[in-house]
Amino acid sequence: MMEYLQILGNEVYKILFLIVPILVSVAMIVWLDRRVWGLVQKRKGPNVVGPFGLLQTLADALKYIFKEIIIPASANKTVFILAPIVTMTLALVAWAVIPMSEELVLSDINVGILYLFAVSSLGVYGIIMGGWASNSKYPFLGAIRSAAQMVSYEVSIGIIIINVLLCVGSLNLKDIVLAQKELWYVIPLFPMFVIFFISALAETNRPPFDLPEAEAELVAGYQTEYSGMMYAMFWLGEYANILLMCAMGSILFLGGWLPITDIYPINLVPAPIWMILKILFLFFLFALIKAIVPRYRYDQLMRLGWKIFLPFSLVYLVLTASFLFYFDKLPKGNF
Amino acid sequence: MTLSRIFKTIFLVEFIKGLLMAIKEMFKKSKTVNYPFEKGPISPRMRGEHALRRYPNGEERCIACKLCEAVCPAQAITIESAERADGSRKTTRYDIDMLKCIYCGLCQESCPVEAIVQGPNFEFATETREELYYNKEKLLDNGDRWESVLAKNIKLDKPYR
Amino acid sequence: MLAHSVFFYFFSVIAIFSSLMVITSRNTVNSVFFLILDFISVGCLFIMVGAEFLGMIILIVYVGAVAVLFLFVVMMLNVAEQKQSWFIGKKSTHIPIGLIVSVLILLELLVVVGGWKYKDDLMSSSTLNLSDISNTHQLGLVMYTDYILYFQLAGVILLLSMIGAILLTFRQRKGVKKQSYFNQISRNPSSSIELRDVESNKGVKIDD
Repeated sequence: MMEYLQILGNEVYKILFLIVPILVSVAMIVWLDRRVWGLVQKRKGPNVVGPFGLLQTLADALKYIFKEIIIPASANKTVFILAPIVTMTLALVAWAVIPMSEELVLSDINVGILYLFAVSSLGVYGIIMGGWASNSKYPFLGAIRSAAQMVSYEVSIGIIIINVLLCVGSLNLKDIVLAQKELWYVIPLFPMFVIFFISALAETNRPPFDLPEAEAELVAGYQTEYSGMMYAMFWLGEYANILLMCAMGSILFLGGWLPITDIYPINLVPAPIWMILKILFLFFLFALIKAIVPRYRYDQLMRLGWKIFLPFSLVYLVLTASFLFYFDKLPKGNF
Repeated sequence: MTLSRIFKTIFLVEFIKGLLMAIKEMFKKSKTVNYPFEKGPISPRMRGEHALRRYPNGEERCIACKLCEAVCPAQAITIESAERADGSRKTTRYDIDMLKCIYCGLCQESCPVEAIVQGPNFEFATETREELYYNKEKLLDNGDRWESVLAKNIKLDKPYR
Repeated sequence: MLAHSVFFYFFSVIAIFSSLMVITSRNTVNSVFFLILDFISVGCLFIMVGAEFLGMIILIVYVGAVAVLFLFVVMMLNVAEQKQSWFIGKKSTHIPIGLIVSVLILLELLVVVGGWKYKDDLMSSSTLNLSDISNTHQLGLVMYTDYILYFQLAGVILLLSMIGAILLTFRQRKGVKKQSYFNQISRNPSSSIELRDVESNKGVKIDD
């Protein structure tokens, strides 16, 4: 038992070293998002608090902490409080398996990609719980929309992941990255990368798929009744999820921590920096797309998910399998 | 439904065009005026905070004709007058309720001696309502403070009156 | 080992408690939430015994998809909170039926547990050898060799039920003007605008 507690103690300190950078980077990413959005619209974005406004998110968080938390009288109190906690926890818990380099990973489990997929599919509960527990029309409609949206797009993400797994032959995230040593999967599976990216937008409720919080018709969707720190937790959880999706995209398609080429001066850059650069690149695209696209209508969203992405990724799956089989490139596996 | 249309749809041509345009726009100079540190240009006709002006020798311009009080559509101006020792008619009270005022500029238009004017100052927010009930002292003080700008503005606007 | 059993009992207690709460909770939505908790703790138990693939699949399929649909239905039905719990109610007609069903399930479980003892006689696999390969690989090896037919059949049955459900709900009414935004955005001026010289007092007849 003592030995076990010691191991636990070690792990706790590792977890702390994982959580703190993630929270800080979430804060930075919020700033980057607002800044890019502003620049595209020829505004300046937050530039007052701290150098270049980098501490803006910190100031916002501080403001939220000091605000009153209002719980509606007719709300289901337990579930209402639980919802932002669930969102936040699920967004952070998934980072346990993300490898930043060959050694730098908290838990290198066998079924890493399934774990990621499972946790990201649980993310819908925070929204449903929040929407239902608020006991109000706007949050409820927002929650229902978002539940349908996230479940639909998970299906196509799942098939895209199968596409990648077919080429790798392992569910381990490390193996997935190492399998891309010669060729990043973004090149042979480019259409899948595009669909993954768009599905990730839908999965994280980003524009143009931000229907759960469509302010024109639903005020703020599922977070209408939330205030203070609870709202901030939803908000942080959302951005942590976006970051997670970027990390997932870079692991599946952009070769994780691998450098662009293995030529001398470039491969001196440490592995985690490559990973961070790739995540940032994907997030930059997220932010740009937020600035340029109008919101989808609900039936268009569903049509895109079920009638275009799903059949297309299925067809591509068959193509990938046939290609690998015909050229005898199927992964042999390590057994 | 032409072939080029299908091509454009499948390869997200319009979308990529939009993306490239967004990136191009990012590097253009932003149009933001960094407000408390930078301010946009203000027209000489700007109808901002009121002020009562004086003649260069220090004498108040206002002759208590009460035209402004009469013309004020919001009835924000209250004037009381009395004869001074040297026989001239001057105001004893000149109040403007800035909360009632709609900043229409009619008082300035009606004034025969260019005493009451609306200056370019628009940053006079206060924390209490009481501070916005301006009296003669405050208005004259405003006039002294902004005189150079007010005189210039009136001169610039003269040809169009 | 002690810690392992501590965790085992922790998750089992949560699983049993939450499954009890599923049937005793007065609010239907709450009971679905407890069902989700139950699924999650069962998934954790699966992972603890080393079947991480099954545990993750439970999380993805049951918690991530099935339970969401459950919640959806329960929320949409707007079932009012039950005023009386089933065990306080005066004359509940559900108890006898429920008892019969649970006795049946118990008997079936007994058969399964009994069968487990003779599993070597009941099923045999040509490929399954419990060496050091991960259980994901083992599962794949068994599923795509010995049980390929059943696996495919199960898939076909699911596909059929999906098509059936779509067919039942799919109906196209006539005379309804539907928007096709693809056609809308692919219009161009030459096909949709017509310029005409209008003589005075004549007018143009449109929409014919």
